[in-house]
Amino acid sequence: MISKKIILTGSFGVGKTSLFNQFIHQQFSDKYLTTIGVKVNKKNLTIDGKELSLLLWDIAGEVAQDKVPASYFLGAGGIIYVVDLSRPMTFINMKSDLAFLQKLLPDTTIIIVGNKRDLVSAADLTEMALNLEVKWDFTTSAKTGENVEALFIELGKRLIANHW
Amino acid sequence: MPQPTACQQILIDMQGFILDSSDTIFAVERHRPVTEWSHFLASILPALKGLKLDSPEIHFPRIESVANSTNGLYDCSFIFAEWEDGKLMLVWNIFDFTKSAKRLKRRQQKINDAAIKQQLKLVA
Repeated sequence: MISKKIILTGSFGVGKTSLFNQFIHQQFSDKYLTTIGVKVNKKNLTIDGKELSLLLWDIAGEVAQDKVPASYFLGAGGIIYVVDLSRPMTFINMKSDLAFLQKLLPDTTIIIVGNKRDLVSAADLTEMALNLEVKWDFTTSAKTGENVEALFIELGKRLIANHW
Repeated sequence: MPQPTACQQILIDMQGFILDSSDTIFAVERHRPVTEWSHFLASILPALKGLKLDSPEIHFPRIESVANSTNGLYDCSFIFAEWEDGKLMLVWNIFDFTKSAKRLKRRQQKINDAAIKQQLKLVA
């Protein structure tokens, strides 16, 4: 079995913990409770007959990635960078954050996620995407579960592809 | 600055088995490799093994679950040392900040709630 450390990161209140809970426990709470440290949990997936163990790190949100303790990124095989589609301020540092992460972890798979899809209309989403230099790979709703499993399956596929 | 209320030291061999532990915060499972009862360790051990005896100590602040059975707030640090027989071992120091967690959470929640409210005002 392949085992990979995955980090959920991004600004505060974007729904990292909700994505984590939806993926691992199929649970969602409307109440925002801040994370102050790191929660670690595991979920096993089977993708195309290959077994993959994802060791997920849900870390406290920071406005910029250079504020995250560098040790957290040690040994990371994948990063899920989350923004809140209903709060454009959470996109502001996206370009510099991704440049920072790519420099720190040049061989690590990074997936950009626009979460809280349930809070924005299709028209607003299209308009937002037009104005961004860097776009999300996935839009998700931790609340409804939309695309959450698909996000982790896609990440798993990329990790498996890079492993062999 | 919050102070830890307890400290624990765990010595681990390079296969991930416990050599010794002070068990001051929690009782370790000595018969199973650490990677089986700590997702935290399982996720970083392969990377830690790549470090050298003279590598500087690595700190992981504010880990909420150091072992799968614990739920609190802990700072962790790791450093390599030589065991009695000259073999390498990993020294895992854990500092317990669980008693400060509620206060820290409340303070951070206030800060984040205010910032989110402000950001949403700008959108409206």
